[in-house]
Formats: sequence, C-alpha cells, structure tokens
Amino acid sequence: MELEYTTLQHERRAEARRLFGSVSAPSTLATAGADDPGYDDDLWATVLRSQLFTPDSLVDLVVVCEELGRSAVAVPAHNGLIQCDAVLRELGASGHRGDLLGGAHRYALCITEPEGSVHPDRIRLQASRRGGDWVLDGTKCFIPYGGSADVLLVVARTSADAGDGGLTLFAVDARTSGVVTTSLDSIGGDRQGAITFADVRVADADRLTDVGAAWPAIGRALDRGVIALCSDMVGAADAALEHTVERVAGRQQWGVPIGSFQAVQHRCADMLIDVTLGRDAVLDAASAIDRGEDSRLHAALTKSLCAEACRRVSASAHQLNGGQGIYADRPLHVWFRRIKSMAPMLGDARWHREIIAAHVLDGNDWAPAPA
Amino acid sequence: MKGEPTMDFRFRDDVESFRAEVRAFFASEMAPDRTNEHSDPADLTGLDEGFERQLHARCGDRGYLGLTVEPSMGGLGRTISYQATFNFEAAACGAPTIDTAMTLAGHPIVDYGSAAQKEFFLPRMLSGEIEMCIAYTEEAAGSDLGAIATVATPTDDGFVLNGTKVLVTGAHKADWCCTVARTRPDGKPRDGMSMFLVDMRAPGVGAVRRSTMNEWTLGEIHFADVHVSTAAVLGELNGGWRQLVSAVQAERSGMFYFGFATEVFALLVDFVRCGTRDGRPLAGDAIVRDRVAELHVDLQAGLRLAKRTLWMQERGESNTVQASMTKVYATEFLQRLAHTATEIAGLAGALHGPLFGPPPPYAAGRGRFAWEYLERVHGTISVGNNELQRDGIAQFGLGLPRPRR
Repeated sequence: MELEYTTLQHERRAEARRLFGSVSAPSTLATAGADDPGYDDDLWATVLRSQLFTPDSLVDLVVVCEELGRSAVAVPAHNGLIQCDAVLRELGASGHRGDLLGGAHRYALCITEPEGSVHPDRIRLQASRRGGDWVLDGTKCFIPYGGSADVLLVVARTSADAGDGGLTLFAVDARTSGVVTTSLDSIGGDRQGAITFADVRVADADRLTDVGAAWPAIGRALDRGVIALCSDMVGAADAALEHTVERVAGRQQWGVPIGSFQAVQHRCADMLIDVTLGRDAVLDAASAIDRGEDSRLHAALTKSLCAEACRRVSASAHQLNGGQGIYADRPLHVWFRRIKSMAPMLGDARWHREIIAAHVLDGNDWAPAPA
Repeated sequence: MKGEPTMDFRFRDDVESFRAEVRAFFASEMAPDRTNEHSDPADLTGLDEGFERQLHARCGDRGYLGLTVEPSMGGLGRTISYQATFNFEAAACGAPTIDTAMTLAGHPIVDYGSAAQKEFFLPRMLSGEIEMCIAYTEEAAGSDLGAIATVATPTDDGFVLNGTKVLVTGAHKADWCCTVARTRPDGKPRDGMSMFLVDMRAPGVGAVRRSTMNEWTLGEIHFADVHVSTAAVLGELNGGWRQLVSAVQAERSGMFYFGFATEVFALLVDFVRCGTRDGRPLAGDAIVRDRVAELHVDLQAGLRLAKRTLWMQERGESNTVQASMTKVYATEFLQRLAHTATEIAGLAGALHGPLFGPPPPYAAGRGRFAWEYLERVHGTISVGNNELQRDGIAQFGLGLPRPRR
C-alpha cells in the first residue's frame, strides 16, 4: 500500500496551482460574450505548452485535474484535450495528436447526441459511402466548447450492428459545408455546442479507425476521461469546502463564529468525508488503470461516487455560506455549476451504477441493455 | 525521483498471503457443522462461551491473538495491517475473535502495565486462556468521562471499589475486567482517576446480564466494597484519564466494520439474484439494481477510508481525523446496508434469525437482514458516538473553533 503522491506528482500539482492560481474564475465566466470561445486564448496556449494534461500516467493527470477543478477555470481541457488525446493515443494517430498537443488545431470529441446517451448502441449519426468518400448525416450534442474547435472527431454509425460494433471515427474539418454549430447554454459555462452534420462530405483519408471498429478503443479512452472529470469535480468540491470553512470560521453571529455551532461543524465534517471519499476513489482507479487493470469498472465506481459526493459538498457549501454565497461575483456558484454540469458527462451516476449492477448481479462486465 | 513507490491501494503481498491463511483457517473453524451446535443468540458473537474459548485457544496457538504485540512480549510483531486483515476476515465469517482480551484490554496493559502485570496477563491473553472486559461507562458517564462516579477508596493495603458500570461487552464471560474509578474525590476528575484490573470472581463483584434490543446481552457490573490490592492499579495512580484517552484512540482500525458489511452485502446479492417481486426477478428491477450498485460503490469507498487510516498509522502519522471519518462512515453505511436489504426483502426481510444454526423458515438472508437492522443501531453510538466524532473531524480536521460548552 502506498497512498502518497510521488515527488514528481507533488511538483505537477504545484505547477498547476501556479498556472491557474492567478485566474479569477467568476470574472472569466461573467465577461465572456456570446461570440467568444468561452475561454482565454493566452491561457489556453499556456495550458498546452505546460503539457500538464497529457502525461502517460493517469495518476499524474488526475493530480493536475484536481487543481483545474479547484480554480474552476474555463478551458476545454476535458473534451478538447484529455479526451481527444486519450482517443488519439489509443488509435496511434500521431499526426492528429501532434496537432492537438502543439495547438495547431483545436479539437472536439463528438460522441453524444441529442438523446444524451453514452451507450454506443444509441449513436445514430450515419456515415455512408459516396464514391471514395463518406457522407455524414446527424447531430452531435452537448459538446463542451464545440463551437471553437476546428477539427471534430466524430463517431459515426457505419453499419447497424448492435452493441459496440458498427462505429467508425472520422476527423472532420469544422468549416466543411453542411456543418452547423448551435450554441447551448449549459450551467457549467462550458459553451456546449450542438453540431449538425447535413450531407457532410469527408474523405476516406480522414477515417481514423477501421470501418466499424472504433468503439473498444474509444470506450477505454472515455474511461480515462471519466476519471479525469471526477478529479476535477473533487477539486471543485474541495475548493468549495475550503471556502466554506474560511467563511464559517470568520463569520460572527451573536458574538461567536458560526463555525463553532455543532450543526455547522457536522455539515462541514460530512463535506470533508465526501471530499476524502472522492479523492481516494479517483486515486485508487487511476493507479489501478496505470497498472494495466481493466478500466471500465474502475471508471464506473469512481463516477458514481464522485458525482453524488461532490454534488452534496457543493450544495452544503451554499447552505453554510448563506446569502453572500449567491452573488455572481462570489466564487461559490462556479464550483456549484461546474460539478452539476460534469455529473452527467460521459455517463451520469445512474448509468455507471448500472454497469456496476451488471458486474455484481449478472457477472457481466459490459452491456447495460439499451433502452 | 526514480525508484519512488507509486500510488497503490492494494495490501502488500505478504499481507494478502496472511489473509489467505486466515481465511482458510476460519473456513474450517467456522464451518456450519462446527458452529451449528453452539448457537447462542444471547451472546453478541452469536456463539456460546465454550466455542469462543476453544477458538481463542486455537488462535492463540497460531499467534493470532498477538499479531501486533512485540515479540519480546510474546507477540508476532506484525504491522497493524495484519491485525486489520485478521479482523476483516473474522468479521466476514462471524468468527468471535474481534473482542478478544488482547484487543479489548491489551493496549492499556502493554502501554501502562507493571512488569508483574505484563508477566501475569500477557501470556494468558495471548494464549486465549483468559477473557477480559472493559468497564468504563456509567449511567451518568457516557461520552463525558469526567462524570464517572465509581470510587476507589484507599485502604492500608489497597483500595475499596464501589460503583456500577454499564454497557459492558462480554461481562458475563470475562475473567478479568479493566475499569476506571475516582481515586481522589476532590479536585478535577481528570486529575483524580485511576485504572484497575479487577478479578471478576473477587468478592463483591456482581455481573448482571441485560438483554439488548437484538437479544444478546450487555453486562452491568456492580462493585460493592470490592477489596483490591495496590498491585491492581494499572499504570499511574491518578493518571487514568490520560491513559483512557489513549486507550480509546488505539481501539479504532475500522476495517472490521467492512468485514461485516462484506458478508451482509454478499447475502443481499444472493437474495437479489434468486428473489422475485410481483412475479418478476428482483435482478431485473431497475430500482433494486441501482440500490445494490450504490451499496457496492459505498462499500468500496469505505474500504479506502479504512485503508488510509491504516496507512497513516503505519507511517506514524496522526490518524485521529481519518479514523473518525472511517468510524462515522462505516457505522452509518452498515445502517444503510441493513435498511436497504430489509427494504428490498419486504416482509421476509423483517424475519429475524440467529447468526448461527439452521436458518429460520421464510426469512430473507437467513434472518440476517432483520438481525442487522436491529444490530446496527448501536454502532453510531458506541466507541465515541458519531456526534462527538464529527465534532472532532470539524475541529481537528478543518480547524473550526471549539464551541462554548
């Protein structure tokens, strides 16, 4: 048993904290206009240059994701970097990966559709052969910062196979005729987009997987993405707790700090338990996946726990901060929004519990039945 | 730095080998054909005293009763992970080896006992020859140790004990009791308390069994003019308060809670796999599946809390806050588990059965779900109630100010 970060991981954490420490999250949220990408270009360039979010080790990654959540900075780190990087690594697509990491293009991973399911069976966007090319028709939805990406990694159905067969991944230039992005107002402030593909022509050279063979690799990549999201939520929850402790320790009523009241202390104690549960779930899963264990169950255990635990923490934080916590220029709502919007990403708690139920009750390590 | 260990929540291989050894030992010792005849619902362990004593003797032969005790004192000198693993495995099969003389009274004797006390008690505790109980709590002194009213009045050659102790686990079968009394009637309680080792057969000691809501009994111990010699004082005269505080802290590894939980959860999974509701399989019910999965997630989460508690202790870090979080979480999880299991099982979930012996007819989970539902009430109260634990988590873990009291 070893439950301490390595020296290098401590250094990575400190570096991430320095990188995000000076950014004021609430003001970022407040000033971004409708036409903005939703994040600061210079900050994004700095994030890419730091290479903090694309290490080989998942533990190395989650250490910095926690800091990202703590600062609640708006950047497309999850979908636009971590998840795309995980997919491109799985596929060995080094050309695209170089463009992603070097900042030559901005990428978005386009999997979910308006129904919101993460079940591969539910992917309906169709890719059909036309001459030597492909034609894409359908809609991808809930894509964080989808409007600012110029390369879309699109999972499309190329045959009617059930389960995880019949899916193929394409890299689509976002300026291609027939691609239309509609901006969605997610409470996470992450500029989600709905992207419609109407008769969009894609060259066969832009097909990144064998026909019908995209899924197992994407599934593994998404499991890594899930753990990273969870670490972000834990960071946001921990920041909300820290903010709350400072507030209740300082806030005086009837001549004493409200943090001396048992009702307040007990709620804070429960918040600390939840944060601890969440962080250790992330670290347990990340270290197990780093050792080569199958990622599916680890991702499910982590997400179903963190989505619930972090939400409880952020809700308690608001209650204990009282009236001042609801002002937009105070930071609390940014963590509250972030956790709530991340909870359903890449499968909500209930989806992941169904994966666990299939494992525990049916001895089946995949395939929750599609609706 | 190269060669630095990386994050890993698994126990070391040697601990896992020990787990396999203990599991095999209990699988044979706790086989139904051995336990069936010894069912005793009036004992917390569910087994009669004869079974417990012979099992303790066999554990003693293997060194299991002194896993973490220094070899110089007759123990095996293993890390706390061994003790936690032993307790987990014992709990997971219901073996009556968690409240042993050593686990209950071992720490104060090892830490504070005189040479003569160690020489007398330790070999007998480690071999399983004697059973002990700890009798601190009184009617008016539950969480507030300062309210202890039992007095030990000095005499020429020792003390005379008078008072009543309540909620004593295993009082009826204990050979010796470790207790605390006021040795200085005036002044602050914390400066005038002392610990004593009292022979339960001494004249004036009376143990009364009182049934709990879950059938097994707790003891009330009455001391009526009980004469003890000065050699019965454990540790420093008038230093009992400090010793007691450290004894309470040493008691919490937390892993055994999850041993109980693992067994009950396995019974629930069996029940759901085989059961039906309104003619349809429970395992096909979306709500039932969701609840079972949630319990699985929470059980794994609790194990990580306990592991970090252990890890901190083995590194020599203060783990008071982590241990409190584990205790709070574990005891509340066991209540949730019992509630969900009984709820899923419906009417059959309310049928109560003994821990051992043939299962009662029509009862879900051999009657264990109902047993658990009644049993897990006290976990959030005993060993430092969860309100006090949360006070500590907030004040020592988060630095919140102490309330006016």
